Amino acid sequence: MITRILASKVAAIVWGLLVIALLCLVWMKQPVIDTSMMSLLPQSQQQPLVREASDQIGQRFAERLIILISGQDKQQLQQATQTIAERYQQIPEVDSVLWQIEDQQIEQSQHAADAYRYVLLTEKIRMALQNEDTDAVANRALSWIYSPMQMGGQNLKTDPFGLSSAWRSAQTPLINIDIDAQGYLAVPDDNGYSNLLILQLKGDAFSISVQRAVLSVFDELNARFSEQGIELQPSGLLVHADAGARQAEQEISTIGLGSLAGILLLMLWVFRRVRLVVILLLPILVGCAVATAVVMLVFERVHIVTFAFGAGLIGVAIDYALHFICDRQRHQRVLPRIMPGLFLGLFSSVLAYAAIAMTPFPGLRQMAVFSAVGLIAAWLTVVIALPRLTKNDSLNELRAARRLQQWQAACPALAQHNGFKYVLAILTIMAIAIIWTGKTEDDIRLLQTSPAHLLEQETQIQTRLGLNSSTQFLLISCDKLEQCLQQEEAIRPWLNQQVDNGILVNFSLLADRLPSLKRQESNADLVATLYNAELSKLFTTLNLTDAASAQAMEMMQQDLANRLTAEQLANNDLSGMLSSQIVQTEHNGFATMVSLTASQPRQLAQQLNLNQHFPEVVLVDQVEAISSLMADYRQQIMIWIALAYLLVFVILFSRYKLAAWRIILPPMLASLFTLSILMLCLSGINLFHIMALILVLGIGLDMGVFLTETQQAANTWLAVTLSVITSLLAFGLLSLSQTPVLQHFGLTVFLGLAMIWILTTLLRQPSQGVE
Amino acid sequence: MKRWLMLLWLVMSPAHAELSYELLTQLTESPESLQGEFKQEKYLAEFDTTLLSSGIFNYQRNEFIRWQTKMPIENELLMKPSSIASSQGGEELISLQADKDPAAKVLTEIFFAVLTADWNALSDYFFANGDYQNNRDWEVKLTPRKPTLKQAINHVELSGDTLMRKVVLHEKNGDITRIDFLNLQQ
Repeated sequence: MITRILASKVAAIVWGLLVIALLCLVWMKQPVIDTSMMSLLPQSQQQPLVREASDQIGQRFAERLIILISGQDKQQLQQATQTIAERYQQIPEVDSVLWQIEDQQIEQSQHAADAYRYVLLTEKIRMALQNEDTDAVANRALSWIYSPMQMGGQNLKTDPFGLSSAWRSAQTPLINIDIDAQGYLAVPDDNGYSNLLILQLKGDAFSISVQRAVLSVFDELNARFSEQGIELQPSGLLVHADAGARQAEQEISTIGLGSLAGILLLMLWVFRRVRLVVILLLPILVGCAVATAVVMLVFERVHIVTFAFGAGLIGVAIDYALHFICDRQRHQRVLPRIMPGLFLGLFSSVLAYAAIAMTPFPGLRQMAVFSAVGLIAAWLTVVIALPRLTKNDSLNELRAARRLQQWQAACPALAQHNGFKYVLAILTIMAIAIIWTGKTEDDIRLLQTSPAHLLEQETQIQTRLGLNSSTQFLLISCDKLEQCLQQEEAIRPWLNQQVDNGILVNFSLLADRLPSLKRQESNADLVATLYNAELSKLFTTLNLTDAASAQAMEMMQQDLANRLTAEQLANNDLSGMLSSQIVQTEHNGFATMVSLTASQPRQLAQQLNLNQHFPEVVLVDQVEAISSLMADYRQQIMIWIALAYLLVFVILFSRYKLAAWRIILPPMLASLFTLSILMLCLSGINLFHIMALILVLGIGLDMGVFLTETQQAANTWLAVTLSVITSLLAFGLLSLSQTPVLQHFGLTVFLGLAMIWILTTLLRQPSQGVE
Repeated sequence: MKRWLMLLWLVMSPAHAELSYELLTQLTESPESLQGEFKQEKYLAEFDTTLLSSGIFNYQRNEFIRWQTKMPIENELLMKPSSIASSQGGEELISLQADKDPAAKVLTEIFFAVLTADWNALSDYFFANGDYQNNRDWEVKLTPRKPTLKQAINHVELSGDTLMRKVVLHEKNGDITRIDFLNLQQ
């Protein structure tokens, strides 16, 4: 019944129109390629605030492109900076360009805190005042007043004790830049001059059109200025995303074209008819095209690893066509004969992918959708189009099939030699032992896709800008910002102690710039005491009149009630770095981030032992969190795969009874052997090696089902062998990739498939296959 | 002879302001170490009054400057390229790390440069405009290049012969600090 519907003209037309419509829809969409390995991983199960904080850090890196412009001639450099800024201001993908700061802005930001001078006290002054050592503060002021270099507008009337200049000089800058005479953002440079330019991007850094627009201008400018001896260095996610996309694009086209060319040659050699080969390729093309289209429509971004599966899909999707064509050489009406096998093959594979789609991995889900859709489309094309296209073909004997059969007959089969069973059993036990004790390596840094020189450049720029490149920070959560600030103040002495102990190199609190209101209140009280105790004494020492002293006192009383708030602080934050320390969520309240650098990052959690001292403060370690997440999911996926095997076995058992073993054993043993070989050869395996085993299962199943369905007919063997060779070609090429994840996939599937084929050959029933 | 040539060069050169740094470098000595007395007058515009102080100082080029105020208060200021520390009776009152505090860094660099007549370093921060008399006495007016410095300093007047004799600092708020160096010994 189904066979008849599928064979109808209507089905062919509907299917054809559907494919064309899909492709047209996608044609209008701009591709957004995701190369971040992070997006392969599930949303962490960390607290929402921690996630928000991590996202915020990532966001900042994603939406900015920093360009460092260096040269020997200062004037030339400034001209170049201006030209670059103006050029970028014209590009719609760039929201704004920061490259010059006006005098007025500088003055404003420098003196922004002056109005709050009575409530912003450095730790040292505050401590002295708390100990009622007002004398020390007065002496400090005197020594400053008489010092030859008392500069910076310290005013005896508005601030006789120099509180605001003390506060200003205690502030560590957020970014290591110096604003030069013309307002350029100069970065200290030992070998010449460097200027900084910050682009705020409007689009998604992963969008290829944004990457091309911004970076093509960069290349153009870079070429132009390098002639003048001016060097341009970019930093930001965009650069890495672009490198990743380019590499993936190049590799996927090499791999795709390489394996396609290989397949073509192989098919031509076997079938010796161009027409047949074209028919064979049709389902692959339709499968890949429909899969790509659906993934691009369903998902916002397409991940490069999905394309890796795409390369693999070529090898799998050709299966159905090969079986059809191979069988078609011996029989006129093929479909009814092979339909159960084809259907079961598709069903089991799609089921395996559906299982993957259930996992919490966004990346995996995409791949599963891609593969399942691709397979279904290829399958439909085979059953709908291929019978029509081969209607008038004559029968043919395939010489390759016979040759393969002859070769196989010479090859030993397990059933004939009992000894093999034991060898296989021993090997299996060994493999399990190796896997049991084998090493794993779940460090996300190993999966870094960016080329080494880009990473080096990135670190160099970050260091020169004095930005903290540590991925660790403390998160302090609260309902209101004020509480966070109070908590920061409570934890500060302890943090200072950790610096003294050598556990921390440094740390930076928001409260260093914005004391809590409570702290400001208490500072105001201390300053009032200071004025009452020391002001007239100080002015007498300086030979100043009582009237002057009274003026200063009045000034204090006027401004004492001023309080610095987060909004006022943010207004004068030229670099926008400050706001990055505050995390604000809709439902989960506030948090502040305490950035820090540890002497031994890996030991930090243990050394700090936050739980004991400040249980409400969380140490967030992004690298560690992701790495442990990867380890977690590596174990979970292992269980998922075991479940998939179980499920598949149940389905197969319902049709083949005990013969189901023959189908399921090769992929299972091949997976075990592959894993143990990888563990022996590599420094450790990770999540992505395990994920590749899902593909091994999918392809292995198809093979077993077809062979069992046709009682291992010679032409089926040929089809299976051809499909293994095509897959080996695709994944072998993939294992040469520079992208670690693709390489891990490629290598695993390559080994797995090679072993499946060997095992299937060994496990065959020699009595059959004589057809 | 060398001096004559320089004078000739100065007269002939139309834009001698540009050349002052080079000229000053040749006119002045920059001794490895120096000690002497200082007299400081600080005029406070706000109160229209002048604070007088005096003391002794010594420096080791590129290493430290010790500035000891004796009158009217006892205070010692020790400046190193990387830090500034002010102490009284051995007790530290102020300490600034130059690497952590760019303002302090600029301050020490300028002060070092002024005291040790490091014209090369000064040229990074100031435009110079100078006069030259009697083959030996010079006077130069420095105006800040950077807006960050302009916030604090209007200009600096320096004068001397082979050594620096006087520094007058005109601050933005109208305060004027005048320092005279006396009894200089190398």
